[in-house]
Amino acid sequence: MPVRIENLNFEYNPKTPFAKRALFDVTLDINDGDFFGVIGHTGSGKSTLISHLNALTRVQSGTLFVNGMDLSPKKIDFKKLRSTVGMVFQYPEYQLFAETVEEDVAFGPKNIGLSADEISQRVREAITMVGLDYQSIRSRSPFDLSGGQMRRVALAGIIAMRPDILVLDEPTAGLDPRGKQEILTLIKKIKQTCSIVIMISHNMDEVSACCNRIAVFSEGKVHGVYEPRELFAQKELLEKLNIDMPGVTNIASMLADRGFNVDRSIISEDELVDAIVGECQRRGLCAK
Amino acid sequence: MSIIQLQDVYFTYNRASDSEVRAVNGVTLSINEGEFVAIVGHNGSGKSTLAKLMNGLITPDKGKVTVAGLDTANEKNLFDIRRNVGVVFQNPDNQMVATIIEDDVAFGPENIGMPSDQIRERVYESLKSVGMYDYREGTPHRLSGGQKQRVAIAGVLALRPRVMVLDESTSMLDPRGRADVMKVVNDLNKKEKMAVVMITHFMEEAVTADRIIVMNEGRIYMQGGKEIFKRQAELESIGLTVPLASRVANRLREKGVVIDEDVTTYEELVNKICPLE
Repeated sequence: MPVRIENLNFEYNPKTPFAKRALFDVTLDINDGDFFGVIGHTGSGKSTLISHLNALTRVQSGTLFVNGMDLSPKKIDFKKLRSTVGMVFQYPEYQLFAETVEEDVAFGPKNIGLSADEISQRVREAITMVGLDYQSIRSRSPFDLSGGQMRRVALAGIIAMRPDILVLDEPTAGLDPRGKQEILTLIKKIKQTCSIVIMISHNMDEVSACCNRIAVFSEGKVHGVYEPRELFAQKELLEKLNIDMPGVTNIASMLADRGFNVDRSIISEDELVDAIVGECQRRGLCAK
Repeated sequence: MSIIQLQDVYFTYNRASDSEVRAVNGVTLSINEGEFVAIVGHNGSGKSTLAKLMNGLITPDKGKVTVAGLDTANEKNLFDIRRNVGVVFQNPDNQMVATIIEDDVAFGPENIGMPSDQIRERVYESLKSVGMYDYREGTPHRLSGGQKQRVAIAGVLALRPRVMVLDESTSMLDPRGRADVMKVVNDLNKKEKMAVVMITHFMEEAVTADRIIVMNEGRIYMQGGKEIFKRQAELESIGLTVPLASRVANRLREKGVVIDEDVTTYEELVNKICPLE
């Protein structure tokens, strides 16, 4: 049971006039193999939760275990934890700093004291994995690259740590359609090398396409954990929580409201097209 | 009548160095009074460079840009040009200049030497039209991204420009913030007749425009109304998508479902498939 969270509470600026409670009794189990989605509005506690996972935010009350490590005590093995949990923040390209791509990606592995051979092997592997050509890009300045390339270099820096659990906060925000698609494909590829991927996203199309389980946050609490079809077919619940449906689910739901026979739990474009074509044929609305 | 005109404009970053990048490559374009124009294109297609050219932040290497008849290459014109063309940028955090919201909005009017009672009036009016009046005495850094962008828009409005250019101003916002900003922008265009140039890669935002300009490799690749979304394969070949409803409609047509007109929104698609009795 790699990530086990029980009754986690958190308050910013405790015991001051600015005290603000961000998490209320959060209990979650994230299992091996999960591509776990975390959704909810800005300010619902998503980012506060994930910053607990590599102890950037410390446990105030409740318990948190990551791969069996108890993160509640004051003293924990940070080195071990941070090679276990790879954290990719929003706009990770803002964190690039080194003179060359190679140095930037090598920064994490160097910090945990790996041998020079091991470092250079991991760097080469990580850069190749994110779809960049190692030889031609290694000595370039990361700041001369395009936005999408910079984001991939930032991801390579995390992959080079070979994390068992990868945590991503809005990984496709701000990218153009092609860039978004490339990053999602890449994340699915990385998923094969990790036990768990946890992704915060506001894009329901991406969440429904990638995740097998989704935790819905609302005002610092977990409203529930659902499978994508189970969640997005619940029109009233989504409206109450002010969560968008994936576009295809939205179209299916609008059609179903008019008595057109399509399933409300459709979450892919192929399914939607097939369902509409099927019903149109039954109704004799097709040209062929 | 056109307000902004670009005549065969070229622009290259880092000219005559190793990292030379040709961004705009012979663009002729005019933006008319009261028009809503969307400019779309993948990263590096030159669309943001067009925004900078439109208010004289950069000037063309070749060709000419005029705003209300004034040449942006003449520095003496810049003051008037920037009163005519206001720009809202991408990152909400980089655009706040004051610690109090109403001071932030007053920055532009103060700079042009407006009398102070008029400044107050303009600031209040602008904050009301973006729905941020109640926050006027608060501090910008406690706002959400969408609220910050609306304050940035108010700052532009306070100068009453004839054109507002939004350079990917919604790309860092969550869906709610994006919808709020889009509503403000649409209202300004429809009710106040302000011309809007919306640079975006969200195709769903482009469908509401009067005219959509598709940029690729520094050139205008295609332009027109929403009928351009029928050309899905071409758009995809240059790294763009078409709105989901158009894509589904295109696929349904291929499979023999009769959908005759241009479809860009969910409502249009649903109405075509299953008309209300």
